[in-house]
Amino acid sequence: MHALAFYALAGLMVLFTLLTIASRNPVYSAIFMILSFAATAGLFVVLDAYLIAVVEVLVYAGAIMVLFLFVIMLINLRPEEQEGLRLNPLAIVAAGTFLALVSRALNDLGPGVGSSPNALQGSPGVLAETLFRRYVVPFEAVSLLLLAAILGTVVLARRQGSET
Amino acid sequence: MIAIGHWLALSAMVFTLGLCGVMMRRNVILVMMSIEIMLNAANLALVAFNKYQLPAADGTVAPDGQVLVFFTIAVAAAEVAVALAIAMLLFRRLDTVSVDDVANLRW
Repeated sequence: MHALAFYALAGLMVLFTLLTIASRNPVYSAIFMILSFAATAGLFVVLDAYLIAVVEVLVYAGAIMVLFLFVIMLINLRPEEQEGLRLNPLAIVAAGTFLALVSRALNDLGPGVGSSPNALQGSPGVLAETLFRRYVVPFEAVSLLLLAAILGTVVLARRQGSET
Repeated sequence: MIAIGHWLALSAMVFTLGLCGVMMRRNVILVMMSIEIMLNAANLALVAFNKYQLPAADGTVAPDGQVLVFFTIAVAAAEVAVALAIAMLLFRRLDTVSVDDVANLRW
């Protein structure tokens, strides 16, 4: 059951990711990316990370992709400016080398990694316990980071010359 | 039972696809989307490692990896907001979203 869900969702994730980077039309790319994130959320459920799966759909597939779609439609590219993948040989060699290096590195995972899944269930209670005890300082730092991002965006997006 | 190697192979594959997107697309928005794909692949690896890590002596497993994914998602959201603002500014000033046309700092 788990294995079947894994292979189905993994196949969908790779397929939609491929379609995302290969689509000529940026709007199609964004739609395929939402589907890819949905497959990822399903994979998180297979890993018993329930809260992360919900956050993935809410924040990634919801908020971030709406922002992308908004900007794509605001910019409104003309069809002749849209192009798909440019199959640069150097880039293919670089990507292949990266994949080979990573697969080589993954052969030896070192101690601390078990051969079968542990009993961890990523329910909100379990996560909150860790997040608000051990990681409360990074949590507050992230809120500051988000504030800085909001201020930076406002400063960047403000039209020049309309300062009051 | 799925071995952890399968999860990591999937994560590596999706990450490489994102890398290809960054190197082969010219549209700045698609480059940003590819960066999001890479972050997402890393998230998958983090959750997988968390699920397969050996329990502590008292049999419990801390969800550190999942907490880290939370932070990654928050940082990704902040990054996208700023990057899309820059893309908008680029389009308004230079009327282009191609990374080839914005090479002023290139030697």
